[in-house]
Amino acid sequence: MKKMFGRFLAAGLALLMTVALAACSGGGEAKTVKIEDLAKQLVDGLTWKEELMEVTSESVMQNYYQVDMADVKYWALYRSSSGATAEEIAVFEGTDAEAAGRIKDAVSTRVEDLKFAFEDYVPAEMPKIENAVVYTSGNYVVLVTNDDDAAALDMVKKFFA
Amino acid sequence: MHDRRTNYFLRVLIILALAIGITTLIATLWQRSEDAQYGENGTKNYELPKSIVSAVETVKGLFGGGAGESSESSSSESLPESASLPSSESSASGGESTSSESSSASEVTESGLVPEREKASDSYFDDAVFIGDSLTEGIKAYELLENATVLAHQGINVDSILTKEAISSGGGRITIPDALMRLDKVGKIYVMIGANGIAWMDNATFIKKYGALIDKLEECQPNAIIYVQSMLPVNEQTIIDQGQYEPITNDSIDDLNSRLMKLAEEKGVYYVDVAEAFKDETGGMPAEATPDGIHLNAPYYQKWFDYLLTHTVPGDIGG
Repeated sequence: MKKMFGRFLAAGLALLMTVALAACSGGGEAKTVKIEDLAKQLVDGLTWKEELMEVTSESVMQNYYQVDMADVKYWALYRSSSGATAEEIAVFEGTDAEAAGRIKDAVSTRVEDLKFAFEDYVPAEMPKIENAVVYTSGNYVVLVTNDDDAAALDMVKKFFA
Repeated sequence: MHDRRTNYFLRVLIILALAIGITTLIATLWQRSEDAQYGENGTKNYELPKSIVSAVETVKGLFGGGAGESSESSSSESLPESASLPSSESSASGGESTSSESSSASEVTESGLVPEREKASDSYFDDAVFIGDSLTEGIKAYELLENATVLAHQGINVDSILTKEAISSGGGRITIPDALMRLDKVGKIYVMIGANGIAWMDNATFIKKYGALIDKLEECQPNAIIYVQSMLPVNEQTIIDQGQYEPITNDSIDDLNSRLMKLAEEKGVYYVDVAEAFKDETGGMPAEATPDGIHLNAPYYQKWFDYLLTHTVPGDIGG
């Protein structure tokens, strides 16, 4: 009887650990999906002057955002494919709150770069840059440059609510 | 009795250890499978617009897969990612081709016009630097040319390119020529100054300033081959409809391009007539190619890269 109890105990513990480890592994996926969902909602839910292009290359992303990849858990970036507009969506998940703070600095620098690029070139793009939505929630940092900044902010807030 | 109990606990411990081992193995395999699914940046890829997928797939076929390692070169610390130097391996190949590149333009045509040739290899752009305005700046968004260096800025023109501090460097900004000078082993320089500024500058002044720019580029990188690219046509109607830019005519651009070709000949540099790849039957940019009359949609960037790969000087078919 004792022998049988021991076996059940061992098997039960193994099962418990398997479930626990699986849960840890699955945590990252949930966050990733969330970032994708937010970026996609913004692409689909707002009006854009031109079709946005998704950036999937890390080195291309770093052409625009000078982030330390050790700070970044996940990211998603959509930008103007022609460069004719300042329209952009960037969503980052930092590894922790401090990392998110540094990512936010990089996002603010990106906004300044956009201002520098467009102020003398296409002044009509300036309102969306000056009113850019830069939103942080926990480890997440979001940037949206769109003519309808109020709608963009509303969507982002609702997403994190 | 004591031995039986010891044996019993020993067995339980062994079973536990085995369970931990198996669980760890399963978790590791699980994680690896996830990593493979999500890619190196941790983002799960979702579908690109069809036009972009088509462009990317086509150019992937042209360029192959391996690009982008050049940004790890050590001597580019003071420049942004986009202005990083070619890798030593790439530079070596670029260096090899420089000797043949530096031969006179008469090997191509008497005017320095680069004709169509066999397609260059995927490492062709490893030692290339692209200099220009917003059209050139757009190259940075395309993974397929991430092995090239881009020194460009929206709104820069032939007048301001020598003086405007447009390139981020070490927390500040420097001019494009200064950034170019800091690069090592540049094999070739592609320059294109587009429609910015031509509305308020007469053609003779434009060409004079362009000549000064070529001189400066040669001064910055005396061993690099210089390719002057023709200005791209515009869609006149889209520009008028949107009212975003000063009206520009393709007749004016054609005139400037013929002057640019002559200038290239005088300066002993090469001239690449990329504009011919973009002209429709009216001699202008097709409406579907551009969102605002001047800038290019994604598939037309691919046309541009494709044209450059098939218009190279002899001996410069890749790294």
